[in-house]
Amino acid sequence: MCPAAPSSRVARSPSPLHRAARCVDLFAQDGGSSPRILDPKEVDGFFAVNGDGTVTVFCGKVDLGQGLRIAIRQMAAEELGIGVEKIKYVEGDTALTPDQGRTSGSSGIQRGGVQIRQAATTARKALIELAAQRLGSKPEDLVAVDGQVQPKAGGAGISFATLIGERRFDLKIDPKAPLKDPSTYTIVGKPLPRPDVPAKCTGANIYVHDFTVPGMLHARVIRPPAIGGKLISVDESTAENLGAKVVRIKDFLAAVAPDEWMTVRAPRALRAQWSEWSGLPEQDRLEATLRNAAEITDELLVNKGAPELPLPKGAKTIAASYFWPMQSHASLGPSCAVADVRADSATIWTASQGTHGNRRSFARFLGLPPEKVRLIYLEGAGCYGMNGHEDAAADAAIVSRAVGRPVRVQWSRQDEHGWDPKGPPQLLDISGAVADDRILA
Amino acid sequence: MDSYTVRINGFTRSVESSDPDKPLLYVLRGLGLTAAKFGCGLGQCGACTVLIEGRAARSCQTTIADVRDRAVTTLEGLGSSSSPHPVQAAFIKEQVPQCGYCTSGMIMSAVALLAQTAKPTEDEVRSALDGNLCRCSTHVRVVRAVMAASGAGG
Repeated sequence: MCPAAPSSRVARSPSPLHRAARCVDLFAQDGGSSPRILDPKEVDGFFAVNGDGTVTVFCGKVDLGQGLRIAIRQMAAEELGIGVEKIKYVEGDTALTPDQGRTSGSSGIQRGGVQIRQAATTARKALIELAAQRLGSKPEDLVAVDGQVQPKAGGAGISFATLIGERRFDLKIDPKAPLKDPSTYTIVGKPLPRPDVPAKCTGANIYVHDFTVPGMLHARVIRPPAIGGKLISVDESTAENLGAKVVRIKDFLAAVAPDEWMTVRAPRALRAQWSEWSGLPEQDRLEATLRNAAEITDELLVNKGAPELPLPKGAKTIAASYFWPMQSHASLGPSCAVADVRADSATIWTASQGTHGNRRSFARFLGLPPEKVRLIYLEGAGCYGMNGHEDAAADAAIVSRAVGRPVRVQWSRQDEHGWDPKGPPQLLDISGAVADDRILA
Repeated sequence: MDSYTVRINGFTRSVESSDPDKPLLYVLRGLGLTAAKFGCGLGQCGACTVLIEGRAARSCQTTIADVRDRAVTTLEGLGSSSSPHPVQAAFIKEQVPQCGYCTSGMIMSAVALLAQTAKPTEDEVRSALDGNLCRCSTHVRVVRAVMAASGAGG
């Protein structure tokens, strides 16, 4: 699986031990240099028919290992009428894929996939109409199979590439374009192997953690001992003796070096003094703190009938309290990102599950127009609730802007446990009354 | 700046480091061998596992000085997608990884186990791999793949 990246600016660090050319040139595979249509209402937003007979799918939802790369390919291939092996795939790149919203809440297939399926069926209808003109047939006598439109009765067909290869559909997605009857499916419903698995088992998969760009520096952020701690003073020479440069912006402190190990060592040696802060409640008193919190919500889930009050004789009341503490989402690999922030543009490689939404945030935060900010998704370590990938991307952007070079920020295990977005603590009190197996209240 | 001779995936390499305590993990990743992953830096998660003279070792806890004149094998050195090592082939066949961040360490630990114990029991597999954490909870598939690679199960 090749992550989306323009090869003109991006290359892996050369090494004789390193298997080269893992990443093909995206702009070569997606049909020339014409600007991408990013409108999710347009067929061209999601599909490009290439001259070699392949079709590139541009998916705004991203694959974190849950299998979208094959599932979306299957949905697109099925509805277009082409073999799944002929589908190329680009995901989560704000310069290449439409905004399909954040990849969360199991929405990849049911929202993202369904959107792409509707684009595919619209495209298939258009391809059949194009072929009907060329063949002098009626559209209803033609069928799209194996990447070509052919007469149902048999005989020569015309390939998708001949019909529209390297050209645009210029067509709005038709929400009423009829979908294939699922009973005729030949691709969807088959358990096909995930295309990312061989690379993940041989070390060829490029995670955001593994990604490099020429001239890139490494950085670690040095955090206060508590979230409200302010930086009082720092003796930069202690880190600089170890070959790392210190970046300080107000209370933001980072060590930057060409060699990653220097950025691990330097913060240990760095003498930084932080103000004390103890605004967080004690962990072992969290339940009591929540019970006395100002923010208590009474939520009415169901209100059926009228509770008989006072409760009739024989009624049994049941009450329970459920408490769970603050949870770290704790990805196996601490968050990481690479950013290249220049005076007039920024490119950020991130495992964010919402590259499009974050593009707007990063544009605001960097003071750049959104069209000058590009976020490119690269897979990170699995995410089970929000991890720190987007925060690490912000760290990388801050440091890159400060040093004027591409920067990779790798969080430490302590950073991830201490500073990843947490699952908030929750406390629920529930009570009810039953009598004769009937719910009263 | 000292120079260390290390045999990595069958190639003799000369690695420069001003710090004899530089962890092997950063040496490997600096050479572009990025299969071994940084998970904790504390030897507690197994994501950085490599083979040193055929035995599983945490590359985050192994220094460049420790591997001077020794043979290191990483996931890249085992095989490739077109020509995978039997354990890699079993992991691919069983579609083991979800995110795959732990997979390199899992496979390296499994290869070390099978070199010592060609026909392990399931319990032996679980015991050998219990220092390799997976947050996607693919452990059941991992065990199935290692058993299949040993010629059992599958």
